[in-house]
Amino acid sequence: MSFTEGKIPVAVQGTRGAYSQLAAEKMFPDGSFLYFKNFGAVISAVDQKLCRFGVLPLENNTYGSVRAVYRLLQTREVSIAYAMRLKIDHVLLAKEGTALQDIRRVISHEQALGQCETFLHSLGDKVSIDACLNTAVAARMTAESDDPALAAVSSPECAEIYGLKVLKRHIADNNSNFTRFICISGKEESGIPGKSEKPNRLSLILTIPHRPGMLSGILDLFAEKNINLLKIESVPIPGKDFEFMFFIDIEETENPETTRKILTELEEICPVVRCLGSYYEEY
Amino acid sequence: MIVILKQNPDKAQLDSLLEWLKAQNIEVHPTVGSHQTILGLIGDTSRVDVDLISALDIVDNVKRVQEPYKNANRKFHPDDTVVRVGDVEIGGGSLTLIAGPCSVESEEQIIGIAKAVKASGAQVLRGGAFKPRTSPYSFQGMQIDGIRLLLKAKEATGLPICTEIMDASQLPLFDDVDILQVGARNMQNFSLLKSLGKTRKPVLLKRGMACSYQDLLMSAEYILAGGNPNVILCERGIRTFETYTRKTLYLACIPSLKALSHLPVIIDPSHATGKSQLVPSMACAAAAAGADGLIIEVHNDPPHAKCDGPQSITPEAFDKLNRKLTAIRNAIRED
Repeated sequence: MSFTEGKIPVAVQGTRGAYSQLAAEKMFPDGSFLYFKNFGAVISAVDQKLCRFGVLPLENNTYGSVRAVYRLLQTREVSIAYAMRLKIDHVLLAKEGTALQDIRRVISHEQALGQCETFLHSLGDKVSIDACLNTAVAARMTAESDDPALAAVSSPECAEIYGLKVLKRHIADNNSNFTRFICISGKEESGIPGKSEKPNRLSLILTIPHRPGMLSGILDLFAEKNINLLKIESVPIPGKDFEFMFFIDIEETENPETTRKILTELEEICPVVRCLGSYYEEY
Repeated sequence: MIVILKQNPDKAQLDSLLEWLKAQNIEVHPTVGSHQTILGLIGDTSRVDVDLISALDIVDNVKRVQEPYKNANRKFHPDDTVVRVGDVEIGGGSLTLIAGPCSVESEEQIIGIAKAVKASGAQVLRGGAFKPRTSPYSFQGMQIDGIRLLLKAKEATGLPICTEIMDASQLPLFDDVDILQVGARNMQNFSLLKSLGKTRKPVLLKRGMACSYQDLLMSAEYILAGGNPNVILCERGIRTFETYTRKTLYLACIPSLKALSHLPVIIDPSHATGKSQLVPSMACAAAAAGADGLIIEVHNDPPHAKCDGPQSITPEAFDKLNRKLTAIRNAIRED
């Protein structure tokens, strides 16, 4: 395990100023952040103990799930230790001297572009909208580019980091724009340092036999035990004929026995039952 | 494996990467070049996840290095290594002249030659004290007395001295010697190379007469792996079917070794040809091919030299040669 000056090494996708970093800073005020070019590497960094924790965005209340992360959760062994919701406030950034009407190309992560659809549409047909790896990477590319007509949808923090000017603030379609971030860790961890709240959420991945009533039967199991479902999402299994994996989050119960029992019952019915973790989600 | 970092990498992130590699028993040799920083990774890198390292934001590129020499490899160290001996720099196209007799024979002889070659532009004095001779009945050199006389010549002229070490046990005798020469016959004396790796003294490593570039670079690797970065490669001719010249001087080694390695390459036209009349031409050819230096045998009285007289040129011939070399160097200089 590598520790820089005793700080906790945390893997983050993107670069300085990424929303993942803002989330990671809230989870680990004393963290030492290592940035990676893709989400898969964040998981590998934790697997291979380059970092003790990793932070990944999971879903946004405006634009929905971060598909790339869900795809990784389907195939990679991941353990969730903590989660939080981060308010997202996008700004449009460009180089000093560039005015809003000069912009001909806007870059950002596809999630951020999707969350600002109305604003971007208002810029007109002459402006091309292109996805890139990350919102902070977009800001860095804008700063390093020779093109003065380029702009980035990023966090306000990126303006200072990359020496860019804020052309427009609060550009998201919805001003109540939140993204859920999960913190992943090795299986040996429980929770994260400095946070002592009891788990309030449990995440499961299931495959369900393709027969009438199977899904409703499974949902009944939760209902019977008076367990509140927080989320249910179906994700296609790559290469299969429209078979799906179900990501189900439930409210963690007071009694660990209840949770254990429901897992046993699910295992009797479902070919795949994976528990991603029982953890606290900060609101 | 080499990891090429982006410019000005964040120190905290780099430290985390270095600590992680260390925990996997990977030795890391960072090289901060003029344009980029490179980490040379040595050890069992087969289990290191290239994809993970490539995905780091501070990393530009990762490459596996197939060659068995790592520290000597130019991929590990894109800029030329310049070995410093006092005020003299060897490497980076320096064309440093090392001159002197094959063997130290007397105080008068060595000081006389030292003064003459210095006046003609030599920057380092050579002279054999311990001589590895093919025959045990041949003159074996003045040994420790030879080193004492070289030091007197150094005192008299200010020239740094270069002389051959034959065995690790001789190291204490070489404390005041500036460049330790490892002869062609000792190029694969690995225990000697390991001992030299523990010092920080410049080592002039001569290519064995039947050794490949890879053999030479692997011998250099022994010294570099011990922590001594001051290695100078020297080509002194290889054994071929041709018997007219003492050995065959293989000048293609200059661009070849410089492509494979960052270490300075110097040429010994005296041992390679064995004929004094061929030395000036081959010295000029080496200079034109971009050698970092030449090591040339100069004797005040070649017919009466105790060793290798036929290949030694006179101080007058050396003076004339040096003027030609200066003209060639100026002609091929790129800047």
